[in-house]
Amino acid sequence: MGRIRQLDAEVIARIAAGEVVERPASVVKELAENSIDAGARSITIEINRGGFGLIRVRDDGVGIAPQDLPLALARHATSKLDDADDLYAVRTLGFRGEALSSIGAVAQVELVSRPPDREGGWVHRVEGGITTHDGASASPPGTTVSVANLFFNTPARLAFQRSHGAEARAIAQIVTHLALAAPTIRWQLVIDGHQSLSTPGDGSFVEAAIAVYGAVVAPHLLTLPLIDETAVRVTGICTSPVVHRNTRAYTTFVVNGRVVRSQALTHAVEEAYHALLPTGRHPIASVRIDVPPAEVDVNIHPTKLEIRLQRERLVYARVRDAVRQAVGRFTPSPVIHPSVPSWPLNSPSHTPTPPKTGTWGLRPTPLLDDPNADQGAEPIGLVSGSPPGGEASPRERSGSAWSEVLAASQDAGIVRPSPTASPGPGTTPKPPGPVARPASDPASWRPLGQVGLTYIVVESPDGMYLIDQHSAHERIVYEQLKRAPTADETLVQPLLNPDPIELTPSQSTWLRTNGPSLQSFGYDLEPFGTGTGTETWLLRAVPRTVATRGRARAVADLLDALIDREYGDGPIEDQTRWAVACHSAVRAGDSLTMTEMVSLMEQLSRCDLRQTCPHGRPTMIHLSHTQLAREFGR
Amino acid sequence: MRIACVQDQLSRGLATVGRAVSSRTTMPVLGHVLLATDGERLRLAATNLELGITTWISARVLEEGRATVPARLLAEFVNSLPSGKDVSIDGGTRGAPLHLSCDRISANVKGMDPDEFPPLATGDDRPAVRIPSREFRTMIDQVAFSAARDESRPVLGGVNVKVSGAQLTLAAADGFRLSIRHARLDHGLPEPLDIIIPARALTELGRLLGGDDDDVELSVTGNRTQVLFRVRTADGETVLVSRLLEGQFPDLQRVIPKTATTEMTISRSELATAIKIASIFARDAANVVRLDLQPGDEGGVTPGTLEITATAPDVGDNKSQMPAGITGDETHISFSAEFLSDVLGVLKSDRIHLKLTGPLSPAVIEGVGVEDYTHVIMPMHSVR
Repeated sequence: MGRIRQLDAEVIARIAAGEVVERPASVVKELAENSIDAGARSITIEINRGGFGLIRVRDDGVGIAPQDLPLALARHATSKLDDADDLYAVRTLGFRGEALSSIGAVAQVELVSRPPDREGGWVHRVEGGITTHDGASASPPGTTVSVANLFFNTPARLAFQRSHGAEARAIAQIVTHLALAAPTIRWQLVIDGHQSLSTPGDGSFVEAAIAVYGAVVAPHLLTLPLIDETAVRVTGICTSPVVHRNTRAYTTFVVNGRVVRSQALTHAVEEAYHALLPTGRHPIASVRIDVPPAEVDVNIHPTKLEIRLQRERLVYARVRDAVRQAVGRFTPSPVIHPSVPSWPLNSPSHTPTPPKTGTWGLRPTPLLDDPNADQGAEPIGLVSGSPPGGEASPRERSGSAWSEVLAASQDAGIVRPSPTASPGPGTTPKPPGPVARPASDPASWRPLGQVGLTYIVVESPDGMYLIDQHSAHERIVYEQLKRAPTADETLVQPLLNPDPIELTPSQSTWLRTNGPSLQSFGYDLEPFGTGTGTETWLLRAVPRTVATRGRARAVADLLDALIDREYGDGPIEDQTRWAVACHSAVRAGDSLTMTEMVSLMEQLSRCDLRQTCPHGRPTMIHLSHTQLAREFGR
Repeated sequence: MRIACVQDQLSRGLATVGRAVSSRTTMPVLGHVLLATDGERLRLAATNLELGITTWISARVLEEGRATVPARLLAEFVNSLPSGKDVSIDGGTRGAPLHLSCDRISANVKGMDPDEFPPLATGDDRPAVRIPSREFRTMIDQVAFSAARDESRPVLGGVNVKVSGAQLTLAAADGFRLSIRHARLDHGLPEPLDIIIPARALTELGRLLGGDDDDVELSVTGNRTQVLFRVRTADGETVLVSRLLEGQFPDLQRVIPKTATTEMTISRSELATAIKIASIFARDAANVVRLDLQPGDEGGVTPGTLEITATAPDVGDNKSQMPAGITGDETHISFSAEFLSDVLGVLKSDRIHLKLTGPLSPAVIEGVGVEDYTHVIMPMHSVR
């Protein structure tokens, strides 16, 4: 008997299943995409034990007729494709007819379905590819697919699966992406009996993003301008540069309704944000791209996660432009410089949240001696009010793209400290590039004044420096805090009478768990009472470094930043140290006296890494005598 | 408008209202000064909408009218005109250029329509409190610096002004320190007054208050949204009007410790000098100075010793020792050098009292023999 023989059908099926059904998350993806293709308005996904116990996807779509049910579980059986030509104009998410059969080969699958126009439903059960039951069943309109005991007959695959928790996270991520991709569908995800996601399904990208990423991002969401030219349509949302994450997982691309991974598109988005975000941080964005189906090749990978686009460069440019416009509207870049193009007047300060017109925001009374004072009050409030909220704040007006400065600095040979330091506590910056020279000692510098209450102009023996007061002070405070445990004490400035502070439930919850770590940096907060929706805490002491600057605002911002994990996932002490440094530092917009500026220089000279802030943003830009002379044509 | 006035008076008037000129560019008219005839006087006014200053100078009015012109330009020009000469001003109606001439110098200044200038309160018949200017200026100096400079609690950015019976009280607190100053009035108000005035407005008022014999009148407008100060000097009359801050000012009396476990009496100037030296080092160490109080013996034969130290880990340290009348417990306490310097700078008496209750409780600083001023500072301590 020869050595080579035809494999039997069951083995072939299992091999094929291996391609599509790598893990529970891929099952969820395949089933949910089927539901989308079935025109569902509402999709509910339940999983148990990371999907190894049970995956159940219920939709209210067109359903499957009883006679089609067995076929649905057969290999290469699909309603989505008629002939090979259709393959090049795929509008549905699935088309290969592999998903259900592959899943049926490696699990116990129950398919219950009722097309809305029929009286009763039908159930079909398959175990390891073999039909075990087929009969009438009560069913709501639509289709419910239950997958139990995944990989029960492929122990090798089961052995290589990750933990239940990791798998549940992967599933949550996939459902998140799908929810963002299809905002017209009401998505619900139930993990081990707990609802972990619920979207309104009202078609709004913004609502979907808020449901997925939480209300904290809501104030920072920017809608992409609709770009619809040359058969490329780009829509979606992104966030202002003050919100960022430490992974790319928050950037979602949807091409013709399909969630895809694309290095090129990711790069397009990041290019739009270039240098507006600290090094190693990534934006939150959800971009939907629609192109003629014939231009997309989705058939290059079984999971269809990767695609090929015919006019990739064009799509790339459109996506980049859309995001850039949205971000640019948020941060218009005032630009003035004779020979260095695009010199930024203001640059972003990365204090993560804009000032809130918080609970303390008292309405200023009008000064005008006007009987109709009510009408007169509005514009006056703007100038005499507490912290400027909304669009006018110097921070938000902020900045222009660093990219332009970078480009300019290369043109003009401006020496810039390397901004490429990896973020995170205890970081060391990469060695400066070939153009960078070590900065002279800031202690010998002479501050001349402030530009836009944001940058300090400094004369130095080697020319001049522009110093970002926030980044520089942040570096100083950060290093002081790092040194504190070895120095003899961390100083606390208690308050004479405590400040009441209103905190949201999530801030309060975080504080109850992590209070001690904040306390070790000098914050002393204790719960005081509950209000409507908020909780009142008493701020009893602050670190010495924040004693003179907006302390109540700093606490709320600090908590938000820590809850959002804006400072990474390291030990809570590291995160807190970083956050305290950021939120207790002088801000852009703070007016500094000459003495304060001199003191800032002196303290900066004692920092180990004075050229970047803890986020890796530069603290200073150097302009040498030579460059100045060249710029002025001397 | 057609008027003539003396250069010196016009120059001084423009300098007075110039303190309220706004440098913001969002409302150009706020960078302007209003000139308007008012009987036989010329009224000058400027406002940044938070604070408004109006002053009057004597003038020969030939034709009534108003004009609004850029404040800095006009002030600089008038300042450079020959002193003591007459300046004649005409034009300005409905935004037409204002023509100025003095001696053989003349100028045309383009302005804006005076109707765009925000109307400013200049007084009504509300009851007013009359305070000697010099005393009120001292009160402002002693209290306003304690107001908060950040905006996290807007009321703390103001000074609480209370009139109750014949007593006037100014109080301010930034959360870490507080100042309370009382004064007797010749006449009180028919009903008690309790308002919060932005500290900046009071500081500006302080600059306007000078002469020994002058008085300042304080009143609140009918709708209780603004406070109005009328300053009468030999030169003329000036009105400063400021918005009031809304909200509840904290009850500071509750915070002032009534007892002490350690009391020190010391020369104000010696202590101030020692703090100044210490702050050279303190500014590199979170601005902290440490005070070690060693009481003298029971009979008071040997006085106690005060030791002041500042240590900056990377820089160095400094120590000053001085004799001081210390009774009670030995105490070691840390303060912000800035807070101590601030209060030592405004206390008027030669000797001061420092009352402490351990290193964690608020400290009271008062002048010896002075009962109308109290300052309280919260000390610092370390986490561990």
